[in-house]
Amino acid sequence: MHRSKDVSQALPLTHLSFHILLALATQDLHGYAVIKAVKSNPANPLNPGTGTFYSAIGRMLDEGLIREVEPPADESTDPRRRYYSITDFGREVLAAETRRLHALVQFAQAAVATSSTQK
Amino acid sequence: MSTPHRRRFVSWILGLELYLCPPSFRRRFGPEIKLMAQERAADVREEQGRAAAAIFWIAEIMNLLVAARREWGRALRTSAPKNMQTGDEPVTHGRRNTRRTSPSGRDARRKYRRGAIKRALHAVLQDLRYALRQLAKHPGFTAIAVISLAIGIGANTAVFSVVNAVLIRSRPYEAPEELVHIYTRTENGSDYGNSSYQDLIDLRSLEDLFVEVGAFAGRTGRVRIGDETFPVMVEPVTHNLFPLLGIRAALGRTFLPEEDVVPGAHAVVILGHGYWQRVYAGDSTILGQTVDLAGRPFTIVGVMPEQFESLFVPGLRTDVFVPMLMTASLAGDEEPGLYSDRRVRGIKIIARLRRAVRVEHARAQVAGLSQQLKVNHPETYETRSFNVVPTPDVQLQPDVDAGLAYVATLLMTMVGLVLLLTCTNLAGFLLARGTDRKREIAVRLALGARRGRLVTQLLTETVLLGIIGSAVGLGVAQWGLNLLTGFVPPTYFPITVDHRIDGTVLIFTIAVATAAGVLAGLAPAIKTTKPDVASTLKDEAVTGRTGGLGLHSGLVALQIAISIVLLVGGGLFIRTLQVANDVDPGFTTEDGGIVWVDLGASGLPRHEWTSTTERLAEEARSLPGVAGVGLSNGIPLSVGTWRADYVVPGVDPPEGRHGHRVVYYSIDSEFFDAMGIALVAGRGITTFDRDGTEPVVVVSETAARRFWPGADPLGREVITLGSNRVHRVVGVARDVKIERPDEDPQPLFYLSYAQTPVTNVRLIARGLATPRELAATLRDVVRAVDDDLVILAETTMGEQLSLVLFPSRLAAGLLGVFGVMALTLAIIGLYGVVSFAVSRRTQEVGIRMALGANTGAVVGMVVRGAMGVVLVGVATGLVAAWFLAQLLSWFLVGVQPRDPITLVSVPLLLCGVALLAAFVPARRASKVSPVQALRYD
Repeated sequence: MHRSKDVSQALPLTHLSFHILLALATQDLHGYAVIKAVKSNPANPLNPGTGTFYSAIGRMLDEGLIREVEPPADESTDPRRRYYSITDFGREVLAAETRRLHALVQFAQAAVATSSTQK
Repeated sequence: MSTPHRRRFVSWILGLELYLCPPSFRRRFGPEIKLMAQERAADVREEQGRAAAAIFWIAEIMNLLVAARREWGRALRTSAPKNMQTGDEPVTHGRRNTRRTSPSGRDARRKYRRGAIKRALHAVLQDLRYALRQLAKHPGFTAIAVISLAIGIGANTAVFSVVNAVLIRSRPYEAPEELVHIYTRTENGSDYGNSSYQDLIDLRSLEDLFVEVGAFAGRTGRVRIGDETFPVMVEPVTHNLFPLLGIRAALGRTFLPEEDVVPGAHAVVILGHGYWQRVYAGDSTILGQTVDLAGRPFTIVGVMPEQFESLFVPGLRTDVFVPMLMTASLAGDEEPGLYSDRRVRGIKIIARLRRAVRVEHARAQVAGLSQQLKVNHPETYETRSFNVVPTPDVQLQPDVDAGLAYVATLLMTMVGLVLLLTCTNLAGFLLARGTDRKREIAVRLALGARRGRLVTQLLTETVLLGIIGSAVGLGVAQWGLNLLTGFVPPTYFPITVDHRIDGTVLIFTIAVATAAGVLAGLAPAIKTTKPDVASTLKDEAVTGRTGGLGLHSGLVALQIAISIVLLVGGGLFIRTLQVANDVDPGFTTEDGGIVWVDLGASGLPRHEWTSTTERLAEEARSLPGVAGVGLSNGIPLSVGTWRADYVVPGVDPPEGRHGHRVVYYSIDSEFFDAMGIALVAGRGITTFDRDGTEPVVVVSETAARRFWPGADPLGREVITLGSNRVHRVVGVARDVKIERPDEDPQPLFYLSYAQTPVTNVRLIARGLATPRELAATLRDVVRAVDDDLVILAETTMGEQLSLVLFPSRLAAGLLGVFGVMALTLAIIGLYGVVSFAVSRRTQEVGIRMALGANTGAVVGMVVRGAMGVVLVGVATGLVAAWFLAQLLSWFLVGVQPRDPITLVSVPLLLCGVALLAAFVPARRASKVSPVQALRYD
């Protein structure tokens, strides 16, 4: 597996990857639970197609942002279902992306404020 | 499509699509993707309804396509760039290894191959994208093309799924190549007859030949649920039959050896899957419960798997299975000799050969057994022997299979023609559109595009249309099948052909769709990519030439040919119906109500059959609105005819037989009146012809002529072969048509029901009330007399009579509709071609008129041109119809397949319509003012 430890190379994250990392930030989830979490994000609900979703999951696994884990012992589950967990590297990237977005928002706010005062 | 079907279908499509993804991706996420898509769809359906779920599925299918493309891009990117490595990329172990081990040309070759695949893939994707864009740009055209293809492909899929269910799909048996059916060949010419229970025992003794020999039979039974009695289809089977076939119960178990030893001792039952679903709603806790079957509680021990229908009549679904030795219990133990009498032949035998035994060897050994039986039981086996047929060669029964294959060929030909028609129609559209795209294509050719590449691209478009059309067509097929099942005639038990759309059908549909796409697109694609580049680019109008019309005219001629074939077929069936209506059947066809009752299956002992039927008839006669009630085991011109062998003293039976095989009706005293059958001599059956008095028979005129030519038949004798009962001829009745309206009159014997009771009777009521009401009255009478009586059908005379002509009516309807559709398309095409030709020839017409040609001459010229096309089509169509009509001969009643009236009138009608279609644009051409026309260019 190719795993680059350089956070800056992983940035910027795609919209979907960012939301997947967000969903996995608090707990390990299986694929459909991730989609549900992504869909229910009140700030920015996304509804990716299943193909698109797994395409993203595959890429993120390859990049070492997430990894596959055993299903939790207390849940009886379909053997086809797989669980994913965020890696330490994933957390770093998520934090970096959040900082990047924050900076972006600040910059945008400033720009919007300037343009409205100029009017 | 029902929901589980639809779910299975889309899941199947997703599975197919996964094969478009790189293998690594498919292996990694395939199962999960399918699972999640299904879960999401279920959630969407729950939250937003079925329509939203359907849209979700479409989106998912498209989404996975897009993902497949992206994944390939990624896969190729990560594996390809060995030679493009830039310094800033870290060198991985894998790459170092590759470099070390393959400095040779092998690597280069591999790389080249990979590159070629990549380029081809890229080209396909590019074509697909381009095609999608083109189709999206012309939604009107796309919609029409998809709808017409959907109809064509849907018709093919519908018919094929039935053919698949009946003739192609292999039965779910284990190692079917080791299985053989063993039929009994009998003297009356049937090679595939039933055998007796004693035969089964004898065959089991051939232990070095067979691992196992099992048997099955078909019966009618009655099940009581609450206060009501329902007829059910029962299959008695030997305990070893299911293990022999390698079929396990879906729930519970199959029969145990000890349950099949003592007659009537073990009342256990296995439910058919359909019956379990229908009556018990698939309840999995029913094992151990009882079913009231034939008045006895039978314990449920198992449920059959879904894909297992029926052994006795595949296509029908057996409701329940019982051990073979419970057979007699189904009819109140009223069948003496069922297991011991070698003459009672009611079972079909199936055996599994030992590994090393070949079919030929088995045949020889079994023939030896036949010989031995001939010696031991000469009276029964003299003209009887076993017939071994490998099971994979049997669908329903070898002699029936041939007929079915013939019907299947006919139907497939018909729908094939419809698809061909759709393709020609689409090709016409594409040609017309090709004219619009000429410029675009000329530009691309001029820029150096290869022609092959352009043709591939245009074909991608039509094949894509075909695929989309087939997706819609699957829906059309399902709809058509539902419609067709609604058409199915009222029979004993509903025919439920398992025509589900399985892998075979899907592969067929996709193949048909691709073929249709290529067929419709190839000629236009070749034509469109061959434009006059220079003149097109200069935007020169190519006037004065009619060159572009050759292909178009060809298509129109083809459409006309197809419509001729279909209309001739339809016409032949309409003539059949006409002829059949004109025939005097010999009895009154005035409508009445009918109820069929099965006394044996009702559990009535044989000695009560006469008294019960007499009570039924009496009760019915006493009701208001009922004018007459007759009783018989059969009705002329309806399904099911009973025959028996009779010895007529002084008249030799046909070669190789012991008796004359004659149709017989077992009737009561009122039957002749109720049916309006006239007596020409002697008397009819009376209430005095009872058990204990001399057996009597009324013969038909033809029987009288055949057996006693020139002599008085009254007082003569007829002897039933086997029972040796002697019947005295007491009357002669007018001939009636028995099986087909066009048949030559055949001999017919009417026996007294009281002297020859049979299990299966029909009550026929005539009166002032409507036939339906009369039938309902009869049913109420039956229920009132004994609510355990099994009513097999409640119908009317009209329905019964229409059954005989049902295939003709259906065929006339279908061929007629398709024929008119073909005609309409052909005429529209013709009109288009003529209009186009006229517009191209405006200049020529102008010059002619300026030179003094009159209107008539111009009209004549244009119409002559058009009729050339029509005549080519008509001639081709007639030749095809001449050969294809022969296929129909089996269905035609009283009409020759090459019926001159049809073969002349259809082309005449078509030419008339075509003339009209050509005349309108021709007339317009003649209205052209010469001055205007000459100024045209």
